[in-house]
Amino acid sequence: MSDASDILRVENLVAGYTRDLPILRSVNLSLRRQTVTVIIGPNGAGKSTLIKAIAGLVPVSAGSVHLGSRDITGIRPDQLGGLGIAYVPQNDNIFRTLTIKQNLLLTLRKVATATGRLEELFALFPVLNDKQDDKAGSLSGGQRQMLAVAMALSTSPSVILMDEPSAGLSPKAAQEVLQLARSLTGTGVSVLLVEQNVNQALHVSDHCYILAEGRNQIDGPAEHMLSDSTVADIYLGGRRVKAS
Amino acid sequence: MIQNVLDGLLTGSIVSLGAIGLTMIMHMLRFANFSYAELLAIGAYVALVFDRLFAAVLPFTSVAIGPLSLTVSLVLAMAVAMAAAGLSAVVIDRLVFKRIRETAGSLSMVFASFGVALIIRNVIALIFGLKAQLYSDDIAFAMVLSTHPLVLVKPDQVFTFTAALAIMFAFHLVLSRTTFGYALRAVAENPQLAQVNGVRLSTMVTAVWVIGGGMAAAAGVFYGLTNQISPVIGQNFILPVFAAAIVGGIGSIYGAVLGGFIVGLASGLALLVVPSGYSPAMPFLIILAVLILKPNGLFGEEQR
Repeated sequence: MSDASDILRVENLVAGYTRDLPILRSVNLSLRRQTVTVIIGPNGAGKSTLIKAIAGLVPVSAGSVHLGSRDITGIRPDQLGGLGIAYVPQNDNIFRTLTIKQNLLLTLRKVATATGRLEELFALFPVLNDKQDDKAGSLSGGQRQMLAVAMALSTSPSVILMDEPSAGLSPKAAQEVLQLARSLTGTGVSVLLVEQNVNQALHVSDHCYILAEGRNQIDGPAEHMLSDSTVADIYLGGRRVKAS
Repeated sequence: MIQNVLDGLLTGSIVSLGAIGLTMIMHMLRFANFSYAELLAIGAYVALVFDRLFAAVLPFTSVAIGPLSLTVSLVLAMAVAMAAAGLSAVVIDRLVFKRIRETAGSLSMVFASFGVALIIRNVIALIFGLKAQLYSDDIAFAMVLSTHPLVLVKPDQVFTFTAALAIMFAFHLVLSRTTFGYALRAVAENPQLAQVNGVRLSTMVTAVWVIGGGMAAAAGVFYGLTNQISPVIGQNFILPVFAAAIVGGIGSIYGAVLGGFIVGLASGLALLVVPSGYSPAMPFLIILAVLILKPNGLFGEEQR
């Protein structure tokens, strides 16, 4: 699956924290416009490394990453936003010592219409609006994820990379965050998601890639994965999940 | 005792100025920079040179301001010194620390910082000699605030304290009201997250060196204004500024300010119970006490 409708393409990517010890051995991936694609796999499969390599946080030793027609392989992380990619890390994804408003103003500082965009973001996340002058460290886990997503949205990206957004959240908060990821596609954003919460993630995704040992294993429509007995056996605790 | 408190507050304001840059550098670049306090010496001596230069070229600037021994030429020289120390900090980083952090670990950086400190100290001694020098040879008379108990304060001390607080307040406004300040705080808290939110790390590292160098230079000049300068200023200040940064918590700018005042007051009050020769040991005791009782300092983050 690789055509003009793809917003992000990863081809034969080899990457790792040290050059002679690659974690990703050859990964291919495509993200279609305005869809949610989830990457799943066992621990150590290279899921987070893949998303970090796309975000420029892990050195790439071979292969390429394209955003539309532009080669962004090995891009510097601070250049991501300007190109239309936002990255939401798994942990520590907000600045706890800054207020909620300061967190957003920080990400908006290169946006010409910062004041207007700030109002839009507060309208999108009313819970943040009510607490805009509170320290971000005082937010609950779910609210922190919302702030992290709001920060990612501030530069109006075309792609958002999310690394396990439901990690450490209550089942209800996890469901809300994944639904939020789904709803972003309605605003023109494409979402690439890494998740351990496979069941819930597949329900909000359009496409799914399974990685193991730094390589592609299986990929296909998320709906099919939910009813695939192999996937169910390996990743869903041996039981099929009813597709909704 | 009131005299000791006043003297302690004055010392504290100078230490706080010096500790702000150190805590930012230590947290951002993850190494204990033992050459940092030499920036005070660089600032103090650059100000000395330019004070004399301005006074010679523009004689009308050599007039003392009001009751102070501070002259217009020294004010101008201090501005030059702050810029020069900031520039020196950036140059030292590019020539030494940047190369080492790209190829070696933080321990190598610590050892390198010892070497840099020795080089700076000895170059200053080579150029200016080991003899202590004064910005002004005029005798500054102290004001008597109280006779029972006797409390004396020099106008220069009042100015130094006020000016140090003003610089710190101006920096507070930058940190709390501008997006540049948010970026500085963001980098201090989580450099990688700051990067993915569009902050260029190398630019912020340069900014921190410039700001830290400038503040250290101001501290050096303020110290020289109320005492005398010698090539060992940095050596004398390294422990107090480290103690302030550790007390406040590494990475906490406001913690460093508070830590500076705690160290200054503790050193001042120590004179009530121990001979003055033992007073410099106070920062050692403070560092030990904090590391044992509250290893992350008053406002520091838990080490993960």
